[in-house]
Amino acid sequence: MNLIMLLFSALLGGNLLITQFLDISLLQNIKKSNVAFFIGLSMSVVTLITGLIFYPIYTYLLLPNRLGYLSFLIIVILIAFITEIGETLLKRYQPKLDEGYGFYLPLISTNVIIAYIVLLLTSTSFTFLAWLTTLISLPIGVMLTMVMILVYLERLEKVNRTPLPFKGLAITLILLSLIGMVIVGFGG
Amino acid sequence: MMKAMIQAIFSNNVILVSGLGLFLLLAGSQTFTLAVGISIAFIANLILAPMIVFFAKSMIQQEIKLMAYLIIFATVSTFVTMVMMAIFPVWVEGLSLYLPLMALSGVFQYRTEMIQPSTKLSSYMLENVGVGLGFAIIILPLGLLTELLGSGVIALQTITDTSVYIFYVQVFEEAYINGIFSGSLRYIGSLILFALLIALIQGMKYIKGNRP
Repeated sequence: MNLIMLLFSALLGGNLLITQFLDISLLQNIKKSNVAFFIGLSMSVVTLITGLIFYPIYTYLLLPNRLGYLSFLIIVILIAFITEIGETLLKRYQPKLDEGYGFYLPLISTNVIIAYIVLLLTSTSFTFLAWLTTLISLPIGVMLTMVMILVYLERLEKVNRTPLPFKGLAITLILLSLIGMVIVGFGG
Repeated sequence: MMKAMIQAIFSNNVILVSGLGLFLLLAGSQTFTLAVGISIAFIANLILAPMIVFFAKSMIQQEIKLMAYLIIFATVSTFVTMVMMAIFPVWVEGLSLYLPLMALSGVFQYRTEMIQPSTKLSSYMLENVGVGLGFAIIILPLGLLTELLGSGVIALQTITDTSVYIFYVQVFEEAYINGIFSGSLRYIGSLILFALLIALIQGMKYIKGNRP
């Protein structure tokens, strides 16, 4: 039951894009909802793999030896390494997909959301199952929000009624804050 | 040299022009004290990380450039986080997860891309300080305004004790506090303020005849 609660709170209430505003600049770079879906999916996979590799490193190596301060450095290396492998595999086995979306892959290695989620382990006392649930649900929540916001922005672009000073980043932030208010409302 | 620094503060401000490091801006603008703390950490990172890259760039191969830079940024931000936690514990309270993440904000990557073979270290470093100050001039008023609207005070805590203030001015009473700038909605309040600031700047550009 607790895991289900954790899953839903991570998907909605704990949504990192809305409650922590991590990587808002990503929305500026992506612009299209289909690319957001691809980035979100890649982000979810990289987060899961990085988190699963980092868990034993942190629990059995860093924590007992009081080397917790190396966590961030190890996470960054892991993310960069996994993204690099992913890029190579994509080029080798899915060249068409790589042509369309390969350009966006470096955005994954410098993604704050992945590092933040994996870094959460160092400040919380999760069991392995709770950790796994968090690793799966948080990036999916971000992906859904990202797609939703970009669909809104695409529609706004079509309607073309946004006042000129609010075009671009300003309207994105206003949209985020409105969705944020709704999400905070879930907390009661 | 000074011209490039002033441009980095105002006309080429990375936050306003490129939208980089927005999460830092919004995390640090909850109170004025946090805004001061995160500004210091940001400037320290901006001085150290690009300087190391400046000297190491010729030794790094093109294929592993991104990975090598990320490792340098992460090492520097971990070091700065530890120093900040030791010297200014109150000024960075609650930002322990955000400070190392500064390495991934995109600002450092953007600054290292600016290094050309003809770039002089002194002018480059001055420009980096300008970028840091540009971040500070946005986050400090934003933090001040968010705290003022959310709790009715303008205050700066001392670096070690949360209950002692360097200055504390009660501007208006609690009855006049705006709910959107306090409690769990505080983040959203600073987000709206920042959106309005961007709209104001774009509007001014538009009035001047430049399309935003």
